[in-house]
Amino acid sequence: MAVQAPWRVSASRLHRSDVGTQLPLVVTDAKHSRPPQHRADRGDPRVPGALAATAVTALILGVWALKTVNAQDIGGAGLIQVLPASYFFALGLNLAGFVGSLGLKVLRPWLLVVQLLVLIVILHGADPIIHGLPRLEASYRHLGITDYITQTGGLDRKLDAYFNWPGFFGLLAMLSNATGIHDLTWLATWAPVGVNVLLMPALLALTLRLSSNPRQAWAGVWMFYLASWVGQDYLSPQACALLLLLTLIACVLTVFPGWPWKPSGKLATRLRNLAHRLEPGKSAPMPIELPRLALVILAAVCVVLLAGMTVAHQLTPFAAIPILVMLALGGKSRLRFLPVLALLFPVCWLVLAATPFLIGHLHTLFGSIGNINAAASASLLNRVGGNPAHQFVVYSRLAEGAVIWILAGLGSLRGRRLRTPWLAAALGTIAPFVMFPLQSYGGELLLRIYLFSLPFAASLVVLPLLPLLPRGPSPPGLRQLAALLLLGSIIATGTVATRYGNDAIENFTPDEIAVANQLYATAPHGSVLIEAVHDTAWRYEHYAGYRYETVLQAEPARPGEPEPGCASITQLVPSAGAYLIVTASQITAADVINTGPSEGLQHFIDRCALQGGWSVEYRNNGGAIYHLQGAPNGI
Amino acid sequence: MASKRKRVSTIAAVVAVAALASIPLSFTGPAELRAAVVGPFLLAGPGTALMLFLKPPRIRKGTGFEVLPLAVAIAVSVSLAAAILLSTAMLYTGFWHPSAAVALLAMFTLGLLAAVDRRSRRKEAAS
Repeated sequence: MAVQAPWRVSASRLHRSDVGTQLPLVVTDAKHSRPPQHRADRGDPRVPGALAATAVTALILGVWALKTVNAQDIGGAGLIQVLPASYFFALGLNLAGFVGSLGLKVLRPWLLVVQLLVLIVILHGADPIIHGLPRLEASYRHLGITDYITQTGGLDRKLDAYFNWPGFFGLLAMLSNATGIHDLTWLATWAPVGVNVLLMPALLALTLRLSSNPRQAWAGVWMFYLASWVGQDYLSPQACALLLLLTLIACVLTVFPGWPWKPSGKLATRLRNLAHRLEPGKSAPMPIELPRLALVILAAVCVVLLAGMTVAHQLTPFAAIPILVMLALGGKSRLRFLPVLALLFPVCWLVLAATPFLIGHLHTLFGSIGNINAAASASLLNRVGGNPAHQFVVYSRLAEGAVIWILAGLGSLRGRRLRTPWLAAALGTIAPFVMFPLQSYGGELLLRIYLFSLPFAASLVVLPLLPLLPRGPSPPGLRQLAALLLLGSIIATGTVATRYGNDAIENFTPDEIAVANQLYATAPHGSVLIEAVHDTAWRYEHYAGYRYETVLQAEPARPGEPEPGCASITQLVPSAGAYLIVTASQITAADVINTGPSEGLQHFIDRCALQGGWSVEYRNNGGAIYHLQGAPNGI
Repeated sequence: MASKRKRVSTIAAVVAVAALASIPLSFTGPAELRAAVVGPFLLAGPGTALMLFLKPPRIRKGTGFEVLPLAVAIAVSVSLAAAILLSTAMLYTGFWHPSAAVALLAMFTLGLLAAVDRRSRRKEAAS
């Protein structure tokens, strides 16, 4: 039923009412809904201009500073060791600009958006600016899968997991086919900036519903970008699925808040009482009823987002399940069917559409359910290793994650004490941890949990530093702004260290790409191609045209593990021979992560090459290609 | 109010032009032009048309929260999800015709925009 209310509610004041009973919902006549504000109330009009100027200065200085970095100097500790002081000055200027914008008497959304865009470019756009090529070997694989679909218009579902969750690659292939642009390297290069820009509206929509006032919401978005070190914002299905997930949750919290059940049952009553005890302030107001058609369409939108997520990425839908369940149990989502669909969709997809993957990976998927030790080992212990600089990076990442979660916990306590909304954010922060005992996800699960948890946690982290009741809409005081700036500076510096800690391993040079191009030009179709370490910018074409093999995984050697010998390579060579690619990034990775032989990867390869049957096909500064003759009785 | 209506009309016109242009351009044309039109259309076209159909001002009237971030997020996410689902369906059915899929999305978008236009004309006539 359409409700044509002859009044409107001011945006900021409604949020005040979220906080508690002290500030009543202000309902004003539509004709006088926005009384002209006194000039003095809006502050000095030159200040926003000055703050915008700081943003532009920070952008120019930050990009210039990044451009001066020599990528060859980046070592085991990552980018932070080679960044000039001017970069940190630019970053500091931007942080101060954002905090200053947040402290204005009247919030200017355009100014805050500008500050965040600058932050995205200088904090998350360092790789494309410095290297000018896609980051991570996975980016190149993703380009290869897209290329495969573009060329064939089909899937090889037995090849690997990607072809069983092809939605994102189908989207890219559709873009490529429908525009005639077949080389999407530029898109992969600038994806970190693009993905973070696309996330901004969804993050803001989410934090607006998680927080008690718009300043906290903006600060929450800012904190997300500051603490987002996981680097999953490359051209990947998980980045796309995260966008869909955040939009879904924001839509649910905004359009469908409330309890999914009537308070008649015993359990429902208990849950309500518990939620009320935890969040004693007045609950968030139910929106005035929307037209039934709009509600139905928006519910359908939620289902479409869930379905899109399901076909695009294997993990994100499983993160959506606990988040939606907890929000429903906390009285934050009244869509009863959505958690059920969130469970049904990925399970049905796994069983019915991803059958080849399911059959081949039953043990991987279900073998470690409930084994918390295995999950902890894979996510924590097995990742701590490498040379001292790399260990510093790994420990910094763990520390940053822990700090954010601890601050979010403190924010929850503070929120409860101040009777301000905090429960939905806390539930969203905790919910992804439900996945921890299910499986290790290749040792990446803790990292992914952090990614799913961060949008919610960020909103809580800033909560203690912003004025809430009883001062209401007044801007933060100087002391609070200084504290916010200090916290932001510490976390941003930490993120420069953690996000770019593996920069020497994760980025590639044009010479390395030339080696891979030469490999495809040299090796006949169907050959066996071997990488010495799993860190090669290849497979961006001919994804299924060769048999790809790896000698050493890019992870620290486990204690007691025997050192690999030349046989670890030759055993991969069939009788028809094979091609081995050794690149500069592989050598750095082996050195930094401490994987492979203690003599160093290059010495190891040189020693094996002396055995005979090896010939150098191509060599440049980025690496070398060897042709390995196969034994007559080879595989 | 008039400026808001004008803004909505401008957005609708831009989306309609992009959708209309995407139909031929998804099949042929200079690659750069196709990318400049079809790319943004796939990113936000169908979702923006849906948001215009839902009339965000009404949501705003009812609830009071800033609706713009959610509207933009839904516009982008729905567009991407629709393209993802469509491409997946084509891949699983072995009917890979991406240009036709873009044209289909464009026609869906134009249909929504036509409904928006029809509704606003009806309202204008009534008032």
